[in-house]
Amino acid sequence: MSEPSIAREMHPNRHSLDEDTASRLLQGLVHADDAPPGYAAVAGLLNSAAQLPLGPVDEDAAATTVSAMVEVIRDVTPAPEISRRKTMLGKLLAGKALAAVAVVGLTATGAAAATGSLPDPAQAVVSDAVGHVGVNIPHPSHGKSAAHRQDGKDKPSGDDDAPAGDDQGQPGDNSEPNNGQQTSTDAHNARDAAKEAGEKVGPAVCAAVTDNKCQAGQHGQGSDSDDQGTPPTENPGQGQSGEHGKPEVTPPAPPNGGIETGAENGERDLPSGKGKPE
Amino acid sequence: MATPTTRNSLGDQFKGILTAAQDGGEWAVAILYRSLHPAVVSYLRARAGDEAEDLASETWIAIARGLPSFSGDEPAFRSWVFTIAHRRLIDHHRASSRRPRTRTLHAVEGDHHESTIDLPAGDDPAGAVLDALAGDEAVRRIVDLLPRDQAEIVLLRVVGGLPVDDVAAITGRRPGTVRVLQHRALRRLADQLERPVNEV
Repeated sequence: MSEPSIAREMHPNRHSLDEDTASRLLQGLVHADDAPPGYAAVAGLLNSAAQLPLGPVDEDAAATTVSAMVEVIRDVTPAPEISRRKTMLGKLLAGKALAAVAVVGLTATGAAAATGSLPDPAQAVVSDAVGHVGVNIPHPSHGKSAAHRQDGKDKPSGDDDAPAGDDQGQPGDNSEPNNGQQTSTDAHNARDAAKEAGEKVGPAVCAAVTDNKCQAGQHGQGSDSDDQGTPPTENPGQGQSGEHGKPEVTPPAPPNGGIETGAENGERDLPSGKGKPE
Repeated sequence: MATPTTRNSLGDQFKGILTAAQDGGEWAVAILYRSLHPAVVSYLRARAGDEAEDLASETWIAIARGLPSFSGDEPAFRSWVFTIAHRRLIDHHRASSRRPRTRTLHAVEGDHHESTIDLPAGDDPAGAVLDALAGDEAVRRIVDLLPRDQAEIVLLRVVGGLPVDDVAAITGRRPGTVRVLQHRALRRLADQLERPVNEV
């Protein structure tokens, strides 16, 4: 048996350490006088070792190390530097984004203005503005309305300055598409039918185009007078000749100049009969 | 009866000091440093000898790098500091194993006379030096008398002031294993320390 083993067996006074006592010894909290039997020297040693952390600090070494630590901490702390980077990046991106938005906006506006797709007030402003520098852009008061009205599909937009059908013919009577052409066709048909039937052409045409509301030929002589009507000298195609020289009923105005179409065919001097047409 | 030793504890002030230190306040960093540096150096000196001061500086720089993201109370901070010191010690031993062996504190008899003693800053310089010498000698005895694993646990508990769970986490052992090792260490110390007295 080795000497330490014999020595351990020769310490009958040594108590086994409980957890709490061992912990207090290792924390240096047990003085040698209060130590369990056989642990007085251990308590003194551990007490001295535990006092070491309370020892002095080399001031020069401390100052150097602390300065280095502070420098490291301020370098590690990302707040100021990264925020500055973000600010610069944000500025650059904001400038580029604004430039891109401006380019896209100007391009889109220019394209819309060139095609006349802008709202009429804006289109008028752009057209007037660029007209000064010699650039021709459709003006809302030119062309556009006529083009729309030509097919009878003028939009009921409040932006349109001119009322529908105001430039030619009667207002508000363009509910049917291509109304003038239909009137002209009716006039032709009525004329042909009157000729074939040997009737007067004027009243027949007038009745046809006015939906039997024509009073052509009634020059203040009453409706039962003989046919003494005077052919109209103006607006013959409209079949208007009232008792007082004023048109009493006006046929719907053809948007596409259907009356003129009849005139081109030599029908301008249509005779106007007296009395009501059939 | 002597008053039980109390460690450098910042108490309720720790939270404010830690916050200031995390913001780079030099005064707060200095307080944290002073509260733990002697223990860290003592722990490192017992294992790394003359290179303890260099390892301690590396440890504090590593602490500074991680300080802004640290969160916890004072015991957690103490445990974190010794964890970093322990890792620096392991790195040091790995590096030492790849180069010619250097002398450590307890490698050569009488080598402790060459080790530097920190200058006192208190009102009683002589007493502080004697205490430092006594503490340093006590640590040296512990390291000399105990196996390496037991000495490491005793130093972390006595010098570092860490509880069993923290020591277990630092050394990579289970708490039960740490308790067993520290009991064996105490018994061994008692055997070794009482034998000369009995012989005398």
